[in-house]
Amino acid sequence: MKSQPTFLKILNTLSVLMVLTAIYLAVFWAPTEVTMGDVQRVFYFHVSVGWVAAIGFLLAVIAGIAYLSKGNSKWDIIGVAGVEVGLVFAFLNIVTGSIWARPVWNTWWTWDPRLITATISELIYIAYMMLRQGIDDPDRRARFGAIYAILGFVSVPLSFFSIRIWRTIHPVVVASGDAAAKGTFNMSPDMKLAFFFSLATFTVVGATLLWHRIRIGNLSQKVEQLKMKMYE
Amino acid sequence: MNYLQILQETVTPDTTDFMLLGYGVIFVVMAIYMLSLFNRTKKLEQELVNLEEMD
Repeated sequence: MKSQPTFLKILNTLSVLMVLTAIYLAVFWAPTEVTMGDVQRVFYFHVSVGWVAAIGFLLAVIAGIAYLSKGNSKWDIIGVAGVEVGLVFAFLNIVTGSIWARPVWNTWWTWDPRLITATISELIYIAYMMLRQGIDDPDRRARFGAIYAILGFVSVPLSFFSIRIWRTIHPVVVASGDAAAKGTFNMSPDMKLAFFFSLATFTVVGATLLWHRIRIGNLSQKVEQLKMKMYE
Repeated sequence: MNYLQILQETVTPDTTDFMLLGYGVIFVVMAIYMLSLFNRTKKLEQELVNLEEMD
């Protein structure tokens, strides 16, 4: 494997150290929530992975706009990297939410506005990856990806605000929520520390993975260009 | 202890298994994704070397 840039190596190490610290803070430092027990500790990573997913999808929008205005393929590479990393983290967000819900709501899944909108968002971006693969022409693929990423992003704020707009069982921990929500709790200072450190940790982890994915995009482009050159 | 106190007393449920499951899923999925990134990088680098030799 080719040598990685020094800053990427630093990010790799920092990610590992921060994840270990975040686990310590979430599992051992933060106090046990009285009504839910240990499962509440999933919250620290559940929100953090959702945050990284949203950042990934937002990056795809920014890259999409940049590609449509500049036409430079590097923006397409950044856009697809944002969507792919976002997809992995959005999947984790849905699955950890389901695991948290089982003992608190007494079910793995319920047709709640947040769960529905988050799943629709995941499906929209899975479709993005699948549809991209069906387009051979790199320019058409990049244009399609840019427009799709911009339009598809509508689902992300919709999912975020769903628990603030509609009546829902999903708790709103960071701001005041619906009285019908189950799983709401007040964060103590130690819980806040674990929460904000987890957010920072997953932001660093997300950025690291994104960089690795962009490197793959660049390599793939080089391979594709060499193949085209050989066929000509 | 009167009845009101008994009703007010909150018993923290044992949900450790669910916590472990949640964290387990996060690390397994992330490990699989990192492995996928590593394998794709390695495969593309090899393909690039082969193509450059042929060119």
